[in-house]
Amino acid sequence: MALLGVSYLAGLLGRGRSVRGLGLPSGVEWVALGVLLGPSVLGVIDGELQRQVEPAAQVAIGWLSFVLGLDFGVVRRRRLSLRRAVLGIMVGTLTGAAVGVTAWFAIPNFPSLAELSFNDRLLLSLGLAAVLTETTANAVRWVAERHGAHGPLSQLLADLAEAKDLVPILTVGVAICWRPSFAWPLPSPAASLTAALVLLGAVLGAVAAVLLKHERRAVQSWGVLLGTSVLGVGVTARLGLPVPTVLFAMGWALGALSRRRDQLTFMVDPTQRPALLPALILAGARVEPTLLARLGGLIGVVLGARLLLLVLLGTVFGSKKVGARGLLGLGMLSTGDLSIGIGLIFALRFPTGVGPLVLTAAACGALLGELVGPTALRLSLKRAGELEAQEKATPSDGEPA
Amino acid sequence: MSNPNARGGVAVRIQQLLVLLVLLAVMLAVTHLSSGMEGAFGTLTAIGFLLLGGTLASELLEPLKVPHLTAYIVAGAVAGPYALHLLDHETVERLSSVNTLAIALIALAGGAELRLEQLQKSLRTLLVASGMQTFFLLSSMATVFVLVRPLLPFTAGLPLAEVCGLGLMWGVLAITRSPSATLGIMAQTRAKGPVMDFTLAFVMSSDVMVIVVLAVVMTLTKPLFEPGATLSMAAFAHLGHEILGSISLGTTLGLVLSVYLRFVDRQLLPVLLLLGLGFTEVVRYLNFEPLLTFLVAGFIVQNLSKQGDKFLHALEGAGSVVYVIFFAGAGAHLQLPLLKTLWPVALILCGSRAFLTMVGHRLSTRITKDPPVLRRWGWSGLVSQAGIALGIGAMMERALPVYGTSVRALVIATVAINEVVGPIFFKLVLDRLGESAPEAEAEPAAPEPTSNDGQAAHT
Repeated sequence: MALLGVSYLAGLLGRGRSVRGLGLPSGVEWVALGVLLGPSVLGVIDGELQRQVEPAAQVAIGWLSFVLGLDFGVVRRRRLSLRRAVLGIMVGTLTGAAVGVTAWFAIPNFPSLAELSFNDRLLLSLGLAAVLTETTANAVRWVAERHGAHGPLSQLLADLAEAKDLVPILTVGVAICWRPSFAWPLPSPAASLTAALVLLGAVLGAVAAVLLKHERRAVQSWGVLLGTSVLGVGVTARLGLPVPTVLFAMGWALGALSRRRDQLTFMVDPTQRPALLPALILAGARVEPTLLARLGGLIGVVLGARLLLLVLLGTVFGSKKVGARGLLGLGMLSTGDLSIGIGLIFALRFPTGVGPLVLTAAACGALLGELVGPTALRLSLKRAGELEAQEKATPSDGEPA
Repeated sequence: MSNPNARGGVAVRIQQLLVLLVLLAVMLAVTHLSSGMEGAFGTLTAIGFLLLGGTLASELLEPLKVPHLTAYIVAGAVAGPYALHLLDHETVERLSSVNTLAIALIALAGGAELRLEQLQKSLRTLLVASGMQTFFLLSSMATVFVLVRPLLPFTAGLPLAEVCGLGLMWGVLAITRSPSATLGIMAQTRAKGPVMDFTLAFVMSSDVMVIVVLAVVMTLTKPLFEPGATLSMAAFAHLGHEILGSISLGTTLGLVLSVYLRFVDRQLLPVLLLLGLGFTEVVRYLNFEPLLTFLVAGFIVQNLSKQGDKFLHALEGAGSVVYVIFFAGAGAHLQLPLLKTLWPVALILCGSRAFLTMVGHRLSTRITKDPPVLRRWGWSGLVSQAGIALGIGAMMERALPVYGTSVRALVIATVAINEVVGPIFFKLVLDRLGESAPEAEAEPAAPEPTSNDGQAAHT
């Protein structure tokens, strides 16, 4: 009930589909609230309560993934070019690989992780890669709307942020399917089970597309979307498998098969943040600050690897105008809802193993991104001259283009 | 939640059938892979499946003019623990939170559908009909129950006085109606006319009567079942507290909702969820009656403010999804093996109830000189039974420790028949009388994004 109340308040405070309402792009303030209410500090959200709200959190993360999938490949009603999509996926893969490889080699240097089995070491590396790959589209949107940014560089960043989402979604799928909690009949579950999950998502998306083809009414359309989403979440979570992978595939298939994608996106987009708040608070409650004392070094190392790679990529992609290059990579540092959601999925699936560490790393990544990302992004866009034109056009209030 | 706009071409039906088969295949595979792993996620799976399966069933049965809610019930029964076993008993029990929400929405919508102006016009008809349907039906069904006792094995060897006591309790059961079925049919058909108006007002107000009569009969018959028990008036004090408290709380809630709708008018869905899931617990904690509380709240919003239509619109939006799960869940609850055993006597009791309801209605409308159409068909919406009757069945089981289980089984069997047959009959009558709205009068379509919206939404 309290979480429902929080969602309600967030819905009131947020202002419709704009990100100009209250709140940070990453949603890290809600994670902080969760830490405060969690067992590490006030103890309001104890273990029992965490178990009770787990289904709601899974639904919320599933819904976020569905919305991302539905809108995947489309930025501002403009379809992403294949080149940009491939580029974004490559950037995401490089970022994930940098983090994962760094984690793999760094893990044995930490005494408490030295005894980790091969499987757990791989799982931890993949988990850290999954939560530190994203550049949240919210941050790009935040800067674009609040400061009226417009131009080729902000468009490039929006495109990359959009396409990169695919990488963490697939990584979490592979990582969790590596060790399924039930007897999977096919060989190499990481590949075959992940493929089966994508197929399940695609089937559910096709089911929704068929049902929505003959349905024009808003309430009934909501019924179909909720029914397929909840079914997808229930089926996947019941088997201990990653919800984001299935729901993202479902959203993507629905978007690809339905002629009503724009209309559906218009319907579901404003629900994203209010629906996700319970999950963000739960994620905060499950963060273990004591891990920072023991394994803060590992988190620092992987965050450093991410930062280095992004600065490097920023130099490659940055505008030729003076000063924009160095900052651009830092501007891509922001992570957000998706990373924290994936971290929470890990923490729920592996509650006593590598899960809490992955979630804590996700929270640290979001915090760092929040402190550095939007400011660096704004400065880099300003230096690239993409804020000035808008500021001249709308000098008074910075309303979005 | 089905679509009256969808033209029922064969191709569309085949597509829907294929989709249903795909969903069944997914459910069968998951049930096979995750045996013993149901828990909370099993409930989520059930909700998703019932929502889609119920909707598809209603679409597929549309050409047969079967009411949607009957199709939802059928879908639930087929998927439930007594048929395909896609949902187990535990999962079906876990759906009770959806039922709580659905009952709150049904009561709010029921209250909001009652317009003071209309009630004033038909006050005499309602009062006479309520009196007749309560006392005539109660006494005559008690008599029927006593007469059919040779068919009821659990009454063998019982003294006649005890059988009469049982008969009276059965009479109370007979006077319960189904607000959910009435609203479900109304939501589908969007019917307007004397029969629909009368049914709605009668069914919604009859709950108060049932609560009072139940308390009276339970108090009076207690000494018949418990040899040492004496007649106690404490139950009436409790009843007074319950009814007055519920009305007061409902009035307050209605006023608060009116103010909210007037000045905030946002985030109505979470508000309705908070009311249905959270406020219901508060009402129960206070020992008030949730159904009556929400009924009064809806009535206040409709009649003491200008927010009634807006409120009804929000309720329809939230309700149409919740009702599918509610009725499909009710279908999954249906104990089909029990129906197989008890159907002859259950059929006699259901048939008698329907016939006596018709007789009672004809008598009351003759007294009040109502229009012929109401005289003839006004009883058609009073056959359906659902949750309240099952609740009374559970109370009877507790009150009758020796043979209560058998009585409850009979209650479930009769309610199952009325739950399926009642809505079909009511819809058929509304369609034939022309009170159902034409299919073209559809609900609003989903909003289209404007160019500005699109820019924001797709960034």
